[in-house]
Amino acid sequence: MNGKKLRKNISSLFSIPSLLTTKPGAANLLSKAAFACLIVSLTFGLHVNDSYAQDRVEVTGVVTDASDGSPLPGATIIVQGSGEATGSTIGTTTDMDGNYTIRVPQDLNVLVVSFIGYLSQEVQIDGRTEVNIQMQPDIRMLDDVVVVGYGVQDRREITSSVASVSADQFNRGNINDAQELLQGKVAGLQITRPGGDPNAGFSIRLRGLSTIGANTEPLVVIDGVIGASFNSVDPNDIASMEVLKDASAAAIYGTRGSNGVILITTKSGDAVADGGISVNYNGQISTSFVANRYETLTPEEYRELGTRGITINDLGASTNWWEEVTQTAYTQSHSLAVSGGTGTTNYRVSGNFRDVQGIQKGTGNQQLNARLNLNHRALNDRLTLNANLSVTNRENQIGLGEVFRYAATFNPTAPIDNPGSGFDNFNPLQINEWTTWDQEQSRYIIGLRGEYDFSDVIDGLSGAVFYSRENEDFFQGEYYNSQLRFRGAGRNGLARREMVNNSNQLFETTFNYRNTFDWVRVESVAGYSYQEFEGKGQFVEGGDFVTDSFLYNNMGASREFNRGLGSISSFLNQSKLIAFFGRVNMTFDNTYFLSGTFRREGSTRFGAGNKWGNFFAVSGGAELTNLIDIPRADEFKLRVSYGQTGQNAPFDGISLLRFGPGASFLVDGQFVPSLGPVSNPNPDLKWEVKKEVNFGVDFAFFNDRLSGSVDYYSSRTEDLLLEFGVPVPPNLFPLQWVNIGEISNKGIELALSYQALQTPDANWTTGITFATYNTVLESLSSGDLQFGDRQLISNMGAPGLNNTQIIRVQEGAPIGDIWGPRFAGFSTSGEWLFFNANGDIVNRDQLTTADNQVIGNGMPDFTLGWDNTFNYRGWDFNMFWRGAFGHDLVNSYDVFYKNPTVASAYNISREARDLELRQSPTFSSYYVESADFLRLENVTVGYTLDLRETAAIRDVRFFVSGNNLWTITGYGGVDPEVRFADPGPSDNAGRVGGGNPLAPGIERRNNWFTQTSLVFGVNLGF
Amino acid sequence: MKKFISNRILLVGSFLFIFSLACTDLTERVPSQITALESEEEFISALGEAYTILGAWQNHSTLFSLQEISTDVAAIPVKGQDWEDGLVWVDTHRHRTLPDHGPTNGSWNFLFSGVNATSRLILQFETLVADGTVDADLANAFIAEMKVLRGFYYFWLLDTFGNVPIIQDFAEVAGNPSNNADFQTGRTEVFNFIESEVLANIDLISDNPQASYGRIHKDAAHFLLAKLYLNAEVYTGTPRWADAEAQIDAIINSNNFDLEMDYNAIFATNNSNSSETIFAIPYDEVFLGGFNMHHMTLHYNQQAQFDFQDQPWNGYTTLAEFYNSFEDGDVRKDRFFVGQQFALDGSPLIDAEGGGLPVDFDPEIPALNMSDPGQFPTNRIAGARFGKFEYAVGATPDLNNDFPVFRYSDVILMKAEVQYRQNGGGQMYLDMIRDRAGVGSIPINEENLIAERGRELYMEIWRRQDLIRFDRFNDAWWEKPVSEPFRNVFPIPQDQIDANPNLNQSPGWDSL
Repeated sequence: MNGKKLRKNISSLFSIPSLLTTKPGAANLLSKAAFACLIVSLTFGLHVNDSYAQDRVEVTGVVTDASDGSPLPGATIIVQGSGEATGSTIGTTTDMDGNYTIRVPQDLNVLVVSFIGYLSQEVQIDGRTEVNIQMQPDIRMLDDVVVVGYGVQDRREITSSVASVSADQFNRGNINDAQELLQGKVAGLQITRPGGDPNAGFSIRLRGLSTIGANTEPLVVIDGVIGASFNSVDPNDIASMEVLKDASAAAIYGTRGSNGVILITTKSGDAVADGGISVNYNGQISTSFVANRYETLTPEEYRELGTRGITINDLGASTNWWEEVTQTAYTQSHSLAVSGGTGTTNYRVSGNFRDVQGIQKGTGNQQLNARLNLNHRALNDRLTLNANLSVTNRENQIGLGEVFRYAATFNPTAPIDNPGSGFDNFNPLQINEWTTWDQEQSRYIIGLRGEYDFSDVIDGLSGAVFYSRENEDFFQGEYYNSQLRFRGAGRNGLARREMVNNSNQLFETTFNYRNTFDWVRVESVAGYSYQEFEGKGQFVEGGDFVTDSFLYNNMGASREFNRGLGSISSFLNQSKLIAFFGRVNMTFDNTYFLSGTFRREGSTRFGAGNKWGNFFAVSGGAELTNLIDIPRADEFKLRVSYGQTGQNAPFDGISLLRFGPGASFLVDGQFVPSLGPVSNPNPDLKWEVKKEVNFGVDFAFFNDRLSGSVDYYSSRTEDLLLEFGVPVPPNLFPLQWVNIGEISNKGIELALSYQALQTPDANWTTGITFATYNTVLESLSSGDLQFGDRQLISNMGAPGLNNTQIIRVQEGAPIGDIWGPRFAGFSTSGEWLFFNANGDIVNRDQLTTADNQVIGNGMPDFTLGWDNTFNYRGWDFNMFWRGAFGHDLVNSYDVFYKNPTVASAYNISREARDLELRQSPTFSSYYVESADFLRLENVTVGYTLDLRETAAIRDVRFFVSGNNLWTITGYGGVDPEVRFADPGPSDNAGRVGGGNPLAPGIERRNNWFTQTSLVFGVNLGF
Repeated sequence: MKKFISNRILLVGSFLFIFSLACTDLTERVPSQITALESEEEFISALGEAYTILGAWQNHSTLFSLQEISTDVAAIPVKGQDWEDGLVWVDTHRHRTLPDHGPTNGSWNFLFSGVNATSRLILQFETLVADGTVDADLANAFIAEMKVLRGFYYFWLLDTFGNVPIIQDFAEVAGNPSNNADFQTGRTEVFNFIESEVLANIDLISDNPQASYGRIHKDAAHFLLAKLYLNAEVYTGTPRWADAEAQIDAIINSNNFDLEMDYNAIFATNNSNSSETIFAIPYDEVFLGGFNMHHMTLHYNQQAQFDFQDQPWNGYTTLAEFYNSFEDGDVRKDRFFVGQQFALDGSPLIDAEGGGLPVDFDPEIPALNMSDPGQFPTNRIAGARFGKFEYAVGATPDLNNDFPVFRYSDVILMKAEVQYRQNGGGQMYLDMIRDRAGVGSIPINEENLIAERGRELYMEIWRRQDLIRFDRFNDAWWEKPVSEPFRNVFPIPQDQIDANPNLNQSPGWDSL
């Protein structure tokens, strides 16, 4: 197939003619020149020796692109064998017109011609004095240069596990958050957001669960800004994302690399011929509606239940609660990008606007984002200056998951407006209408980078300084109407305001050295990194307002403050990370690859003797096709890596005995605030360390039509940072952050891409990602701190199951074991029957805790992504499936509502109608369901108009797309998506705690219903 | 040329070197907290930690629940889906507690947090005295107060768990308690430790109970010793009735306290400085939260009866047998919620979610475990509810009533008991309490003493201790069967044994 043509389509489609993703071609002369510069700098140390000798013949010629005949400037021509014959390599590079002249010793006959993006060639001279060479584009160059930490690397030389996803491979359709772009695209990377809440956070897990105490999500680096937020970048501005999967790749980020690293490269400006500009507009509108909800009885069905001898509570009305609180949501997004440049100065400016509605009434968000990427080269291209600036403003209107919970389970015979009774506490419409919960996030990132090429001093040396500042202002305002009883009841209106500012400044200086010594190529980087973080904020809560009209905007009107009630708090946190790091990559004869990384990093958060940690990695690989003949193989690289990464302490002051204000006590009859310790100090706390070994194969067969990689990894995290039970006494508190225990992960990952069809008119590319997971909690003991037999965590919740713990944590066992009695059936009188430990059938009163057993596991065994792209003339078609398999979910809705005995208090599951159960809710394996699913995430059909080159509008593409179109699953709850962490049951006011990663596999009742979206969009290029 | 290059390298290198030295400072700052106590005001404030821990005194699922639900005055029946809670409360009432039940660990952590806070403060004050940075007299008075308060926490550990480790040196054992040879030295040693600590410091602390309201003072120390000696036979095997009487007399003879004329006044919303209160936790909705008896016992719909800020939990009830042990006309009987309840506007409360039944409390509870509403349709409205403390209209989750931990009517009842135990006397003192309650005299005997103590002091955390002292804790009542004597202490919590393998489980519990 014509790789360049495909490439052209893609680049016009996304209009990102950037250095990293664009393959040289005639249509893109200047980008070819940029590549020339790169190759010149890469080969600076080639020590080209063109010494004159009597017995040499001058050979001239022109090097061109075989596909379109355009000249290739900067291609390298070397006389094969000249090193051995003359003692020095004879070689040259082509000029701007692709011309070269070289003097070849008479007894040598072969020229080796190479150029990045093309397949290297050996050409026989055979006595000619003019040898013109046509270079075949290397299709694999599509993604051949990969962004790694502090630099780029040729994909063929990478010896650790790195996955690269470029814009053309991103997820499509109704995508409003950057995280969604990657869902299912990288083997081993799981990104989940169960339900259809547009403001919910994502769970991101790479290769299982490497740490349990603190942060479990990968580090995000946007254009070099370490620890940046996904929310700082609009999905339309991303050129590529690289996922550093193994510890070897992530070790350059040392302390924060344990959960992997996601590097985001934004689109940058590119020179346009004759100084013109390129303008691109993407716009889309979409409509979203409820896809799946928890099915309960209609008012008629509920009343009918009463005729069957089941106690109901008929309140006389007929209300379809979920219709009252859901809406068909409309979402629009517009993106305009202008880019251009002169060759020395390139820019790209973009603006993005999104207005997203949620399927719950009154919910959604609006995001405005602007970005400027500016590059300038000066001093004979020795100095490169780069500035990135992005500003994002996002407003969220939050909807409580409890609205859906009670829409499903509130009495369907209750009138919509039923003031007065305590019954009204959980009226979903009132919760929806009388709750105001708004958020506003303003972020900016400034990144400034200067790089100077010192190669006049030392060949191959360059130095760079980088400064960035990320700033986030977060505002949250909540108001609970004086009539609302769900939250703020008895407060006569309750308002809360929270303002938080988080900022960090990063200063880095790096030196790069790259050189080629005969058959050895060296690329190295060394640097220093200084990053300081500051977080500050304040929180005010007060109630008792004269009017509901102020919402959260007039806290002074709260009369609670007059009575000493209401609360105010504020804080300031400061911390620093300082590091020295380096990496050396060596390539031997283009066949053997070796890489070593080191980072020494210190954190303010640890005690005096434990601040610094050392993290290193080594990896190596061999390109077997250069050594042995593998039939039809274009590439077959074996690689192995080992590395260490770390995990910083979860918050500030953790090593110190700190005193903070507490409740008051009486001093001479007057209340005086107490000052007490806030936690157990642990000055011995140290870095958590993850050690990981990775074996991988990268391969390509059949002229690159089939390509992919396979990885096997095994990691072990030691000295886990965990809040652990410690004896009281001598400790002040029963929990303390300690280094304890080990967790291990193993898995196999497969990524395959196959160009199934390649004809001039039609192309079909299909790709699969597949990953297995096995996470085991090896140990949770250290010295005197013993974990004990097991712990049971995550209670089922109110009503009545507050002390029913459903997840077992046990040393040596997999993470996520669901624990409880094994269901055996119902007795003829509707009693629960269970299997006891001996396998005998017993009733509920005979059941003891000793009969509980593992009845499921919440972690998936494997995940799957299947992508198909089909092009036919102007048409493009994409279909993406994603699935997770082997995980179970506790169907909390069913636990409480698939039971006819609760019909007097709640609406019940439709399936409960015919259930021969007459005992109150009890947790058992009856409610643990396999949640395997395969979901048709997206189908997109687009058509690109065939316009003349001279038309004012360069490209026009229309598309329609659908998201979450079909889910194949046997799970009976709302969303079979993997639940990685359990926030716990919500209390009566719907408040939940932070997620516990040791308790995956529970679908709580505050889950949003899922949604399906249909999208229409247009892409324009000028 | 070579030289030139190496000079450049040297320059770059030394720049890097200097830069690195200057920028490797990792000193930590915590601007919103303090890491050392400096001023006197800070120190007095720091003292408060030892007392504010008592805010959890009456919390659900800790000491209060454990001590009361295991007796014949209180239970938390399972009501349909509500309060199933893994049957912890059913088990606690039936004396089928297990070492891994949450409330035992909650009680342990609560009491030892008090021990730790006092031990830490003692060390900090002693360090300051040694440094000469604070006035020694002031600091010594604080140290003595902390030692008696630590004795108070240890008294409840002694009573609840028996053989607990004695940890008094905050600094030395912080690293590894298992290295301490005296980690667990027996219940008698705990008793002796408390006795010696309180005796050694009783004359160094405040003797003004009014000025020291809400704090430990001399009369509170006498009360603590009286309780210790009263139960000495249970704790050590040796009765100390005369020693107990001496401490009781010291309180009576101080003339600092008197019985309230009105029983209700002791438990009113504004009960601060009641003449009967010897040591109180000065609960306050603003300054010291944690008292939420109204939530623990009242029916959900009674939110409308008091315009409470939050909905009550419909949990704690009393047993019919106990409710019926009050004579009609006993002012203390009127403190229970029985019969139809009404909203503030006078309308009768209806339990809409409970099948539309009226909120009409029947003291008779059909069963402790009423998980099946079909079988027990009245499950949500069964059982008399506790109203000993006044519940203010519009109350927040934190009541303003002070909790009288030590009160004078207990002194009078103890006086009756020690006299009865020693020589069969005490009738006059028993009559004083019954008279105040508006009921006539009953002859003093074991049966009547334990019953009267129950009627006077129920839900004040004394019931379990009293039942054990009167040898009635192992008896059967209602749904509670006869239980083994080893259950007269609660087990060392499993969490604690997991955290410290050197802790030994108490006899009987270790073979469960």
